[in-house]
Amino acid sequence: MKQFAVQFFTDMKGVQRSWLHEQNGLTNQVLVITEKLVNLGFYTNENELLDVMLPIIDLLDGSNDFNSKEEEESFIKTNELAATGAVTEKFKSSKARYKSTEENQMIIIIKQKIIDILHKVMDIQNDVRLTKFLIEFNKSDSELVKDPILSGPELNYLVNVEKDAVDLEEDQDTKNAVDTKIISWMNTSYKNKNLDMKAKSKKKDLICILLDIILYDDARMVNSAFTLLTRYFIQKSSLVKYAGEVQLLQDQ
Amino acid sequence: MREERLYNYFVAMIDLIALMCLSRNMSGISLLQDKYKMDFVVDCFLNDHIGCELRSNFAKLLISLHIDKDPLEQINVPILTRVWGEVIK
Repeated sequence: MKQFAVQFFTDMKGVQRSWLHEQNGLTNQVLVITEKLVNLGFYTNENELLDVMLPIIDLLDGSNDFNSKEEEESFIKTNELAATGAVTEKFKSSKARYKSTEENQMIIIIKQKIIDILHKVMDIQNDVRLTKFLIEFNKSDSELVKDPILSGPELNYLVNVEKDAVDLEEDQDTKNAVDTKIISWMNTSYKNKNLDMKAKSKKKDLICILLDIILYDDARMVNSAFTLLTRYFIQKSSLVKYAGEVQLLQDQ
Repeated sequence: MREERLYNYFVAMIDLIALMCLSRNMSGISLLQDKYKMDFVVDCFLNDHIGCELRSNFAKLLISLHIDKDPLEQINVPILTRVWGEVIK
């Protein structure tokens, strides 16, 4: 099923035609299946997610869409003339695609679904990074437990932080050491860019695609695309937030 | 004409069956999962010779009858409650 979905989206080559209602209905259902598989945890590794993520980012790009048969024919004609050198001006995609009409409603639903999947992928990426952060924390903690000379000043400093009784002059060195250590954990966990949509999507610039989506006349989709865009640029602060919120349970 | 009406009947029937199993409706799922086995539904959904409308209804059926059901649960990520001893594993 996963392979079929990847092949299906790849075969579409990022092009959607608003007048092919049945084809668009099928595309939407394949996306619903993909979303369900992601949500239910069928995608177990990053490579599988990447395989499906790249063709759907292509599909999200509205500049490839055609709003009518005439538009597609005009595109083909212009391309043929350009190949013979008869025209130099490139075909310009119509602005009609930004309007929310009955004809392109399914295309908007498809794009909305793709954005929902990308939100989930970003959640999974945050989870992977949080896990890496906690692994670094765990490793460092194990080293401290073995070495009381190292752990003594750090423990005192942390007790002072809890009591809100930090002496800035006395604890400055320990504070710097602790800060450097935590920043290094953060950098190690952030280094993982396996699911980074922009870094991985080399053919298409995801940021440009999302900015283009914002021009559509559909409040829900614009809101969702803008949220995704914001989330992309605050990944580090999200990781800091999750690291602060995570609850660690001691097993028996 | 008759074939077209028959085809439309099947399209509507598959849609109805998918709706009967929607939202993990166990009474619908337990009645229908043996009649519409997973292999059959997947084969129809993947078959290029079947029209897109019927295939998308088979996709709906696949989700509601065979994918989105117990004991599968939606994963909530990032996981914000972890066991300290299992972090490294």
